[in-house]
Amino acid sequence: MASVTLSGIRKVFPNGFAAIRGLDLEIGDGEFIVLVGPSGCGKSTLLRLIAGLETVTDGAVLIGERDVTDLSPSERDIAMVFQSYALYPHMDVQENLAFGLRRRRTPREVIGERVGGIAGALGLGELMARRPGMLSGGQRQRVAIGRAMVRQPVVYLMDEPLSNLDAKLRVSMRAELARLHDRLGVTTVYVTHDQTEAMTLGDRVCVMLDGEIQQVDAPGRLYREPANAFVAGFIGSPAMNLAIAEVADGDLRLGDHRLPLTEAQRARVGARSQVIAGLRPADFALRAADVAADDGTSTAVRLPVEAEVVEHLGAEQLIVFPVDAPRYHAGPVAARTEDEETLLAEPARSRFTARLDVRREVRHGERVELFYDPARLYLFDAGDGRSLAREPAEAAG
Amino acid sequence: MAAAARPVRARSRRSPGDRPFGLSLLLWGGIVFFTILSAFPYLVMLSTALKSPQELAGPAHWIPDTIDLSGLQRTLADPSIWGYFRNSFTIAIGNTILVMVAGVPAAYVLARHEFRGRRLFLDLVLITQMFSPVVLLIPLFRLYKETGLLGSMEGVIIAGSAFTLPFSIWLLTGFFRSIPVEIEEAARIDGYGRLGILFRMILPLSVPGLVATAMYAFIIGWNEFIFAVTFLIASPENQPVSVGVFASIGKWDIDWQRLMFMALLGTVPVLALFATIQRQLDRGFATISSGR
Ligand SMILES: Nc1ncnc2c1ncn2[C@@H]1O[C@H](COP(=O)(O)OP(=O)(O)OP(=O)(O)O)[C@@H](O)[C@H]1O
Ligand SMILES: [Mg+2]
Repeated sequence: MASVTLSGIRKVFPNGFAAIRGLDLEIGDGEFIVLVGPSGCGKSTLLRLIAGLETVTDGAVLIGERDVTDLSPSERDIAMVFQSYALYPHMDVQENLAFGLRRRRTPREVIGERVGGIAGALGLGELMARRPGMLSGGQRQRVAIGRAMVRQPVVYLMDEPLSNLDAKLRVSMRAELARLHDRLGVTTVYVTHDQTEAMTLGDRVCVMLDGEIQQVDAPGRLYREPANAFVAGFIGSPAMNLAIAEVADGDLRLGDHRLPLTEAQRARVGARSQVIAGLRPADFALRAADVAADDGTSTAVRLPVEAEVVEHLGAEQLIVFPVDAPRYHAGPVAARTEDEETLLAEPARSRFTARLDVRREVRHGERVELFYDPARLYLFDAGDGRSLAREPAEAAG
Repeated sequence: MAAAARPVRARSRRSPGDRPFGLSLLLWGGIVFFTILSAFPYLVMLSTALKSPQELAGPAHWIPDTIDLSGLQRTLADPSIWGYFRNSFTIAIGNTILVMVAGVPAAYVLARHEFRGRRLFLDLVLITQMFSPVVLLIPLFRLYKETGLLGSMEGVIIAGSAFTLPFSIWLLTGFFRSIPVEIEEAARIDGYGRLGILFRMILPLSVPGLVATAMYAFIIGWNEFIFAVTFLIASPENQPVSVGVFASIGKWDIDWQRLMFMALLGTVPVLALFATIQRQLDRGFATISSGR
């Protein structure tokens, strides 16, 4: 087992595209780190750079104490699980599992022992003589994981290993992976699109955008204290409501709404005339009493809104209401043009989502009053999107 | 479960009966037409081969009045015919080996390595196919004379495979490209180098493509004529069937029966080859025509 250190990594592809733009990351020994970010942000590229399937343009890759920057994939002692599984189609499961060991001149008995052990652990016993073409998606996925495990590498690299599975299988395989990691404790770098996967599997989650790291933190901290507006909008589902608010008389104006600031927030906003305001859907409630702060220091803010869309999800309901304030777009616009939501909505207006309990069902088109705790208001710099929550703390410390 | 699934499958698959009758008729008409068209020369050969010289001298007609097998006897009795066949095999096999040995690595590199001018190179490879071998006959003849290749089968093999190679490289490149790159990457991580991957992944996974290409090279080699007739004119002992047929043409007369029998016999090995590996071939061409 080993740590992985990436220092000053850059990757420019031959066509001139810079997929990774200067990146430092320290992955601890035995840590399970998850890479997330929008499509095309460079997650797979980063994984392939660690694997040695691509060579870095600049910077160094260390596995443990060893500088592996110029080593081939096989010399790095890593194993990778591909999104497409990449099983060897002309070999049966047994051969697929043993292929890497045979190359390393492992004694025959050891190969048999290890392959048998892994096959048992992953429930592949009866499938050993089948070829990948004769396996179901979930079985293939288990073989792919098994193939990575038999080698006993110091680092596992997994590129969206569960994305080809149906929802139910994904949940059970996720639990399987978590158990495996608990048992083996091998350093793992895991790419996913799935928030739940990221939050449940990761010791830490690394959020990327356009080839740069936005924030690396434990899942809870990532959710509670996003470093910038992009992370705030990316982590959490439904996504955090973000819009550009004007600062007026020490409070915020968000379209027709007035959002009061606490003393601490006012200090952080300082002389800014604009900030990005963020509110999590789950922080809204239909009754003031439900959002009262524990210590009673703040009083709930009332927000009269018109429910444009209502989705009843059984245990909860989502309501969408318009807000007359400009939408916030994280990062360069080019990266987000694929987002059809962006294309459809007019930029001068935002739509906020509130996640509410179902003690009172809201009807479509109904005018309701929502409440939130002002202390739960997130504030970000309107220019670079950085969280304002961090600044005073840093200044004070 | 299987019993329950079967009727559904039967319904979902389009049986030939689903096709409108007119279309079926057109389709079958087309098939019959082209079958007759391509079988026509062979029917002529067979008809001619079975007619006695006297009958041949008379007015042309399809069905021989009497079946005359003396031509076949004459052909098979001539000991030199086995030499022709052996030479054809040697040239065809030699062509196949040379084409595969040179073509597989070339195609692998072209399929997997992005380098400047890769597409241009592939286009140039194909452009060489536009030139007829005839334009090279005289220079090659002189070259061979100097190097002592004239009159040898090696010379024919070398020249022939040079002209078989381009299309073979194209075929193989297509097959190799259809193999997912991740499989190679997984093998790289598993510790295999370029050659290991070529022999343990690429080649086993492209068997249909290899068979199709080898088959193509074999047939081109078997039918080799222009180079053989030019370079082997003075070495009858090295001539293949395609040239040996000409021995039937004497100074004053032509042994039509022998000529036709030899031509027919010459197609037998290729036919047999086709029959044995036709399924491989189908799979092979399905892969490249799927455009990957
Ligand atoms: N060989 C290449 N040449 C040029 N550009 C490339 C190459 N490979 C990837 N890219 C580009 O680099 C960027 C990052 O690609 P990468 O595959 O790492 O994204 P990703 O974060 O894994 O996305 P996804 O979530 O869709 O898998 C993309 O914009 C992609 O188009
Ligand atoms: Mg990817």
